[in-house]
Amino acid sequence: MKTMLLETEDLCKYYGSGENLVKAIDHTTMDIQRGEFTAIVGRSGSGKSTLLHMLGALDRPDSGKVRIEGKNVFELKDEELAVFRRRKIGFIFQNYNLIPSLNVWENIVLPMGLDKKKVDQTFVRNLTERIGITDKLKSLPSTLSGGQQQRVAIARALASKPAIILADEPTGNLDSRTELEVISLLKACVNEYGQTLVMITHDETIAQMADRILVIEDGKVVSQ
Amino acid sequence: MDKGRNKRIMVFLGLLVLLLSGTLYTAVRWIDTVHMENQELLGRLLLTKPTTEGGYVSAVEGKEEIDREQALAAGQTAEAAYGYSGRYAVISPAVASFLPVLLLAASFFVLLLAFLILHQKKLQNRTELKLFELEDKAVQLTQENSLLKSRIEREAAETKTLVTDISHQLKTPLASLKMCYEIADTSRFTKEEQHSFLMQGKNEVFKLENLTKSLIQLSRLETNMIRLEPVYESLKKTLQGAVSSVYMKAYRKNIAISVSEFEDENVLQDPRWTQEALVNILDNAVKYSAPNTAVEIRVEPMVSYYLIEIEDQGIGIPKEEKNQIFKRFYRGRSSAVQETDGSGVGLYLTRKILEEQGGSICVKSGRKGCIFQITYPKTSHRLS
Repeated sequence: MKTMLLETEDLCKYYGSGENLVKAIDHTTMDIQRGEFTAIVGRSGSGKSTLLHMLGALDRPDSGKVRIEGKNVFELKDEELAVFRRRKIGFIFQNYNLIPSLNVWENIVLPMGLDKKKVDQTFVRNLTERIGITDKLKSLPSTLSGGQQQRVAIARALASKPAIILADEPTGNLDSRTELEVISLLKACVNEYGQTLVMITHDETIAQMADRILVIEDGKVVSQ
Repeated sequence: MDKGRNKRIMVFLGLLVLLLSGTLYTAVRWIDTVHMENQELLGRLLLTKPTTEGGYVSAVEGKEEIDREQALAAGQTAEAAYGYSGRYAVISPAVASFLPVLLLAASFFVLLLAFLILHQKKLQNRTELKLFELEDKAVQLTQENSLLKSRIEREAAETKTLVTDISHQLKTPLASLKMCYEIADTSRFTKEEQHSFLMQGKNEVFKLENLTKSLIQLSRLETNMIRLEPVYESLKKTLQGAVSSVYMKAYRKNIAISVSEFEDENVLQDPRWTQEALVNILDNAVKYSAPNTAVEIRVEPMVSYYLIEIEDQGIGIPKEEKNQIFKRFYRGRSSAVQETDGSGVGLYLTRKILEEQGGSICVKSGRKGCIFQITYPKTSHRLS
């Protein structure tokens, strides 16, 4: 028996209609094992971002299922889904999505505050140390470099110890050196906590670091 | 905790207050009525002015036809005239002493009820919390269980494929060795021919020896027979060790290996295995490069990692094979790779050693050959 963490079943998402019909996701069935680092590669417009949004239950599909730990997430009510998402999934975006008026520490503990969860202070302190932003905790995001901001975003995603980390082109705005470092860091952290990482990238070099590479073309998984 | 329950409790308390004030109001009204009856009786007696015993009785019992309002008014005037205006001064001692008993009893019950409600709420909260914790624990345990189970199963499956892979790897050189000996053994060939086959057989034995060496290392790392023993050790020293172990090979092909200057640091590493990881890359760089080329090693400290780049001017790696080269027993498809000796274990081992120590590796095309990029953690903050 394998421990399936995330699976999709015949997932479809179309935009437009008639001649303008765009099949963003076209009958996609795939699964991701617990503890695995999966890279999703494909050209821009191949539907990889849409797929990631579905996996993270940010967007509802036209048909098909997404199961996380065996639970079909789109059967949940909106309110339940929001809570489920906050507890199970950590997101990392290309443009960091940090809140500019909050300092680094506040940005990191914010999702836990929303959940009225008690902040595991020692864990978050260790995490910021590991990620190398301990001396920036009081700074505002705007005073940090891109690499540092993405480190903060990684810390925020990891702080509530979610089972899954979904990263959408996390290094898209970084130079190639910083990119290598950020991905190494992300990979090492995820390994240490036994989390599952799904990362979208168009960079095949970065994809090499993954345990598994899924190639998406025109909304379909063409090779695994 | 939840809003619904708070609302219910508020409604209940409101009702309680209403009931209590109602009771108090009725009590005041009752005292009033007693007082008014007394005044009315007084009025009656004053108006009828009875002279006989019978007259008194009939006045008190209300046999005389006297207007109640009139009697009341007369009674009130008479009371006022003699200074008995205090309404509650005339309350009978019995009523006055009984009222506090009522009030005390009522407040006692209110307090008791409030206490019970609060206590019950507290208990419920505690139970809910406990239940939540238990549920969480149960989920965690089942997850841990299934993870362990799958890990054991995966390990068993991996061992199986490892055995299959290894026997497959050994089969080819063994077959050619066997053939060499068979040919050398027949008398149909000349002495020279027999000798050359024997020499080839010897070569195959060397190949086998090398192969078994790397297989032993692989299986040790794979089956966790050896644990990496991390110590703080100079990165430069490890790199020097790796370079010197391929130096003679490079020298023979006139390949220059250069290392850029960098600020050395003691990093947490198992020096022996880290060196092994670097040697595998350097060995490939020398093996797949033409003579009179160069291998360049650049080390650059970043924020939390060292970036180690190893660039060669060799045959390069086709784009579609870049994902494959770190897989166990994978060997390049091009004839240049196929004709060169190798087991397909080296880079797999390299990646495993690096990842085990928190580093990572990837490859991209260089100006001429390829560049291996290694990240290695500068200082390791273990998380607890």
